[in-house]
Amino acid sequence: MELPLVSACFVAFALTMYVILDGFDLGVGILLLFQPAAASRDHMVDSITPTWDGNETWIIMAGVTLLAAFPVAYSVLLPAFYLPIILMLLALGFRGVSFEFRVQSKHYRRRWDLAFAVGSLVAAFMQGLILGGLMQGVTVQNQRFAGSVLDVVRPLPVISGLALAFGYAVLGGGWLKLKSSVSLQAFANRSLRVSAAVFAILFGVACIYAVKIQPGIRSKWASHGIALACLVGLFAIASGMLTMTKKTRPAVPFLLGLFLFVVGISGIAVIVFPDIVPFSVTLWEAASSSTSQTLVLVGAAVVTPIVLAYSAFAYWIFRGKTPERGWEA
Amino acid sequence: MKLDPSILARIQFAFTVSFHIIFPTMSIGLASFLAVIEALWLKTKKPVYLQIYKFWLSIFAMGFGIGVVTGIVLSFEFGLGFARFAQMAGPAIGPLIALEVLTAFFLEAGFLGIMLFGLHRVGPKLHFFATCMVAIGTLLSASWILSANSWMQTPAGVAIHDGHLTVVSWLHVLVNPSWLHRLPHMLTAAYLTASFMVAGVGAWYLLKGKHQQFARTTLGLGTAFAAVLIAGQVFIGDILYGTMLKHQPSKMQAAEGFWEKQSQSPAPYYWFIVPDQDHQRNRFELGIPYLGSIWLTHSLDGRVQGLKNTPRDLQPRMGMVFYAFRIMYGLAMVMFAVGVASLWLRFRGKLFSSRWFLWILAFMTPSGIIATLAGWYVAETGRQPWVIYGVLRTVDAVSPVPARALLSTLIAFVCVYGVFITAFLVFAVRIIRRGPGEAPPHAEASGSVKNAFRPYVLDNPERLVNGHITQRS
Amino acid sequence: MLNSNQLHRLGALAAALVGVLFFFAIIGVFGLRLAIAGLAVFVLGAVVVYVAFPTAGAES
Repeated sequence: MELPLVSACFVAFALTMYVILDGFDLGVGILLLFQPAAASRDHMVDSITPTWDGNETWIIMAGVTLLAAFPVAYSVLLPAFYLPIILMLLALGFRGVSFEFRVQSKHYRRRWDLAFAVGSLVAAFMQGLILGGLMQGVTVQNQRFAGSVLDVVRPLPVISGLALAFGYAVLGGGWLKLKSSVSLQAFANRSLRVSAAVFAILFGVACIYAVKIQPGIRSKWASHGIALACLVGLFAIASGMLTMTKKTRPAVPFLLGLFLFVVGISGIAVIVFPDIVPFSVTLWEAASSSTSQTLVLVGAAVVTPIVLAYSAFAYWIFRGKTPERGWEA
Repeated sequence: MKLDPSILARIQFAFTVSFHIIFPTMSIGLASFLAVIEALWLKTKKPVYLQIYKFWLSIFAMGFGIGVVTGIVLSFEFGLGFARFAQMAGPAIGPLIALEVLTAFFLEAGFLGIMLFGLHRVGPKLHFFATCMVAIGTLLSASWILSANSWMQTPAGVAIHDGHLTVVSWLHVLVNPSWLHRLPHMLTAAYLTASFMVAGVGAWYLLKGKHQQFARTTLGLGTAFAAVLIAGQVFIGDILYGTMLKHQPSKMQAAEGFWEKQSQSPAPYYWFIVPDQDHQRNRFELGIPYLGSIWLTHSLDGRVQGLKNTPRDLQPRMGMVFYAFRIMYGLAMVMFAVGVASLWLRFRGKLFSSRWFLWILAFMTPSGIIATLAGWYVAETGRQPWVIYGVLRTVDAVSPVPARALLSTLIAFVCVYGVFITAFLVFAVRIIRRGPGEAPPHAEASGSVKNAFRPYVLDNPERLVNGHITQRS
Repeated sequence: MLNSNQLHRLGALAAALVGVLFFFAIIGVFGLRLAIAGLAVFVLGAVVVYVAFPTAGAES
């Protein structure tokens, strides 16, 4: 198998891990905005506190693998999405420090909760914005970014941003249903129903709009129509099931949410391949030499299973329902 | 006013990386300190050690969080501000940082949850393992990133063909000429930072006459480590100086404040200069006679090489490098003196009762952070005008991003980071004011805040059976 | 002769001068071998002080 292909798979793997794991972290954060009871908010944050850091680390993995294996793509895409990336980083910053800061002060806890929630929302939105911007297409000349940093302020990226925020809310709602106590079950169910419905609609709108403005996507539908149609179908079924959650096993909505994202990511992979900068630069054009890719892939092959093992162990330690009185009581 | 993108990109990176380095420096030091404390607790069962652990755990947790989020910024900032650099250096430093993420970041993150929240979920041995894993993670992290930065300072192991870099020897990229000297220097700096932090807080409590046992223990441990570490640090520092003199002579020339190709003999050691880079001279200089020759040439009459030995367009700014170096070195000397004093006071049995010494320690609490920052300014401003020494200049490395975008994001960073550090300081001071045993262990989250106050074992010593915390029934 | 106070002051001064000497040695003024030796002796001396003069009223 060719090296750039394997490297791309690892980037995709890291991104998928990030989207799924930090997806529900950010989703829970977004849902804080709709939770008026302070004690319930505490409970919601408790459910993601022990494992959020590892989850967030996958985005660094994806970014740094891009730097190592596809430096051309890294150096094109980062300036291209300069503003949304920085806003995302600042938002993630607020979210991250709020974990520790919110418990240091009773008086300001509400304000830190707001920072937490808004940070989560902005981060999610920016990530969607970047995704939409990628589908829209980035102006590249001689392997350098040649567009404007404001190219992302257009309909497709904005709709994608909103869509992703709701999508993360689906994951967040599913996680809450799984991990929270009885008092929050109704809230979790409500969140799932609403966000799943809005997510599905926005996702659909974004897809249609993307087809309209991006000839690259049209040609992919022409060549891989069946595969894409299947994925769309699966997506529709899963979102439909989510909007009807009432009495299901606790883990089902969360798994359905994960399934939604896997389907969505697969669709994006079908559309983007074989490019790394969609519709402009292929994997092979952007790749670094084989020595660099090999080192990353060997390291990844050896270490990733270990990482997954102890990450799973950490989740297992904090298994079951999140205790209502917090982790120290 | 015409804004220069390359200057703005540099200021932004300088700001974010300076801010960031404060926190991992603390985290590396405190993580190892916490591991030592927990080991002592497990071994001796003395409650004061658990008290110390829980106290410093809260401050550690806050600092670690800020370190993580400001660190993520940096991994993207290579591309955001310096895309040309990223494109060129990616093949060399990208894999190093990828391995850092794989072996260190995930390790820290994976076990941090157990370390911070698992005291009541897991047995003491597993918890101690988690603390150790976090400490090892910080160590590995420092190692990889130091290698990447050292490669930028003393590049090796690569072949360059019209702007494209290919790695020919990973061993030489990783073990480049300066890595093995800079790594122990940085690690020792981190451990020194923690030593002075804990000793300083302990001294403060003794001055106030509070938390005697806690204070004496932390002061004793802090000064013990500090004395030995600072001796090692000045040794390593001198070796490193020699290495950098060989591989980056322009940096060390700028650091000493001499302009002429061969200085006067004997050469003084300057402590204060007003450099005039445009005219390649000092408008004013003040130093200790003979000491320059003694310290820099190990003789009584040796001449020091000045910055004019480097072509003008390749010279770093002397003002920045000189003063950064003086601050770092000056603090090192003060630390050494404090170390010697602590040994003398131990010998005389007056370590906890000499108020003048306690005041000095209290003031020295942040000394490690300041010295580390200063040292990094030497490293980074002294490397200029290169971003990869001898290969790529900083001005040629900038992203195609308009100056206005750079300026607005710079302002955003300053504002947001300002909030972070203000909150950190406010809460840290609050934790210190409250004292050990009264602070929330740290993110104890919901429910009754009072519940989490009592250290589990202190409240229920019978729960400690054969060194194991029994599970609540 | 000197009283106890003056003796202690003299001791502290001596300790300070010895400290300066160690500093010069460790940073290599007298060569690499003496630097290593100086560092080794300093660390050894510190350890001896920790062991032989334990701090009262503290846990260690």
